[in-house]
Amino acid sequence: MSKFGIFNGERSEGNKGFSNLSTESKKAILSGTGLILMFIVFSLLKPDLFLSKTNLINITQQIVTYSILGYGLTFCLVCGGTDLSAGAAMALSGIVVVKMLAAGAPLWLSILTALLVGLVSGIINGVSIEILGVVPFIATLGMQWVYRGLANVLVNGMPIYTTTIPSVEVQEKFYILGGGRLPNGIPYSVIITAVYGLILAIVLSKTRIGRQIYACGSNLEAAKLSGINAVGTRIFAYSISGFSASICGILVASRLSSAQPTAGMGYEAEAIAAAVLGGVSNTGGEGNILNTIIGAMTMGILRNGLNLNGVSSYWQQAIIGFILVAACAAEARRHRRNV
Amino acid sequence: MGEELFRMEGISKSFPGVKALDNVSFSVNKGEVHGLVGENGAGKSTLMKIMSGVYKCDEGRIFIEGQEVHIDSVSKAQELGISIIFQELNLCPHMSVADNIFIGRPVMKHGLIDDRTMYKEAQKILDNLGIDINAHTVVRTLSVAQQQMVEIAKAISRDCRILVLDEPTATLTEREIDQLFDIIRNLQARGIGMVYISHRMEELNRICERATVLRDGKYIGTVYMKDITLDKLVNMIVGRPLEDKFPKHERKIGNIVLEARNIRRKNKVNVDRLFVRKGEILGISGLVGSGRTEIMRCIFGADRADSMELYIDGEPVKIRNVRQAVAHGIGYATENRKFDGLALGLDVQYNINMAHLKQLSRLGFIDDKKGRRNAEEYIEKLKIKTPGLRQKVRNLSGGNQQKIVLSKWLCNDVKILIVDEPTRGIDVGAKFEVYELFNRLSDQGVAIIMISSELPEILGMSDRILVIHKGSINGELDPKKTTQEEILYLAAGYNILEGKPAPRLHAF
Repeated sequence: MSKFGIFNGERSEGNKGFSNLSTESKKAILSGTGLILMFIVFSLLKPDLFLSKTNLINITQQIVTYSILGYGLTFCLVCGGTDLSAGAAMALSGIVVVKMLAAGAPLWLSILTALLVGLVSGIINGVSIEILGVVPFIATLGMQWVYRGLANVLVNGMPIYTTTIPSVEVQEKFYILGGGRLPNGIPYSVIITAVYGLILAIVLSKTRIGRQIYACGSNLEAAKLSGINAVGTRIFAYSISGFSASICGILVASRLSSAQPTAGMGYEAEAIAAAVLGGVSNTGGEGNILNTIIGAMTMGILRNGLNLNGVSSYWQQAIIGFILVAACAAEARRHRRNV
Repeated sequence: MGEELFRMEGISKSFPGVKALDNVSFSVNKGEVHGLVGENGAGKSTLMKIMSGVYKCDEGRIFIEGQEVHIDSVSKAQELGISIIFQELNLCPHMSVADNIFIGRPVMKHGLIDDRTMYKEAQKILDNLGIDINAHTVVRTLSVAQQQMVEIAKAISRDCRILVLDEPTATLTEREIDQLFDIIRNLQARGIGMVYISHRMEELNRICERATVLRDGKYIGTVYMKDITLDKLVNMIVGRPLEDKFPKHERKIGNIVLEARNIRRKNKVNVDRLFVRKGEILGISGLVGSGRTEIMRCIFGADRADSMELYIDGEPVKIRNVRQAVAHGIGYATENRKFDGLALGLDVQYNINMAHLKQLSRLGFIDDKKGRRNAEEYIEKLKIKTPGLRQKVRNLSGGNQQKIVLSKWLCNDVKILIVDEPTRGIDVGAKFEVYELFNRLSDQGVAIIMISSELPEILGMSDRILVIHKGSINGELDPKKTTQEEILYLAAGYNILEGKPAPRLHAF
């Protein structure tokens, strides 16, 4: 019944069976089953296209984006907040890294600065919510405009390509991050996603700050009265979201060899949908990284499968919006039943 | 008696416009359970908030074991070993019992949380206190009583020496109260001093050695429970003699106004027949969770019954939702007024008129003048104490809030009023006023169905008592001929174990 195995709920001694699993684990099993079913359906519909190596790599790249943004949003959602600025922070970081490289800055410094930009954007979100007292929805919606606006300002609204980087060597090195692969075909970005996910899973499930995030999302008042620094805890959660967004921005810019101020538009909604679909509660206190990974895989495969089957991107947008609301409704229903 | 553990001397505290505490003194000995009593607004909470570091006192000194201490924050109070268990429990519902006990200071190993050791430690603490709960359980799935015990375990694990229990039994059943008292005695044996705030006089008698009375922010006195009668204590609390706890009243009872047959809902509700007469107060007793509320929610249309035949004034009616129930003249004042009875952030006038908007509006527009008149009328009728119509309901006392809940239904000309725990958390004086109000309503022919966990209230106010056990009626009693013991015996279902039938006054 313990919810704090690193990835999945660790079972208590003597307890066996589905009903004794933590809510997160139950949801992970349910959404995992849905994921496998969907995979089978798409495989049957378009076996040649869907299961081709190129396509599977395509899917993983999509999943990488959803996962990394989703990790950050998981932190926000579990502690009872939300982050609508993630997509914009992602674009801003991408612009910063390419812009710096184009100006001749070394690779490590450019990446570090972009990560810092993401981290700071998250801290700003946290501060405006926790210290200035703006509700998370409005604060992060407002900051979304700020980050998106800044991204546009930096490049005057135009995409910036890595071909503007003076050194060809740096161009290639930068591309490897998001576009490179191991000899066996696994993209580096997948490894980055996995390692980063593992680290965040440990932080959320096994460290003091992680446990405090759950406490704040579950009952803020109780957390405060127990001597937990709720303000600090929640700012930390938002800064993880900002930091994750910047990793995402860097990887995407690297893979596409360009950074666009319009990158990541609406990705926060898809990342929230991924997290909730995987079993992260949209009202706080519940969810883990495994849930998010399953949700991200579901979203990635869904998008890809719809693409291959000729569903237009406009319809896809409508479908994903519907899925987000339906997933939240399913959870609300479960909550009512529990009361 | 143990030696002195904690003492507050000459405590005064003012808020803008009010002197909340005026030169109050208070002390607790080691291993003592010290009752703290007074009407709502007497200053009990303020005193306890000063004790726990939420407020700072303007004047006065605090000593622990003779050493003067300065409590300037909640964490300082915790450091000094002072813990409060509030009425609204402060646990994280999604997390396990062990996580809650060790919240904010988990057991660590190599910089990571050591869950295995933490669960073992938590289980040890629970077992030592005689609390039968698995540390792995998610708090959300526990009963209120169990959650309270987790709170106690949490306080004890923080090396608490002084424990304040703020109305701990308000939502507990008799059996749960016994369990709580066992734990309290266990803590006493460890030398922990406890402050016990309660409106229930019988409990003070059972568990406390001494009690301190506050009234209007002033210290009235400290008494030994064995030396004082309850009536005298009540006198000290209200400052005026209450002729009786329950106003005497002769009722004029008419014909059956509401009758329900074959109410069934899943395995929670299983009632063959239930009726209430005009002007009658029907008391519904039973343990918390016995299905009392669920039965009434079916009748009120708040939950859909699997089957139910309803008759109002002898005519068969169908009630499928709350709107239909209201249209048939049924009102329901809920158990938890803060949760589902009132819009706390809105004003008095709004709340009184909330269920009455149809009558106050024309073509969809609210007639504000009419609304104001209506609200004023009920404020006067029910003696609601409020600075004005625009006062936010949140700022009123529990008793006045309850009156607003009632007025909400009364202005709809209810014929049948269901009240669920009508006097929970309200003080002696306000209770009396609520009882008087019920009497006046019954004079006007309103049938009242009163669900209550307080046995004296059930016995003192009802014309007839139904005892609910596992969703069924397990006994119909005449309050003049029955006792608290008999009600408890039936509520716990002992007659079924012994193979005896449930007592009946009427043919069912």
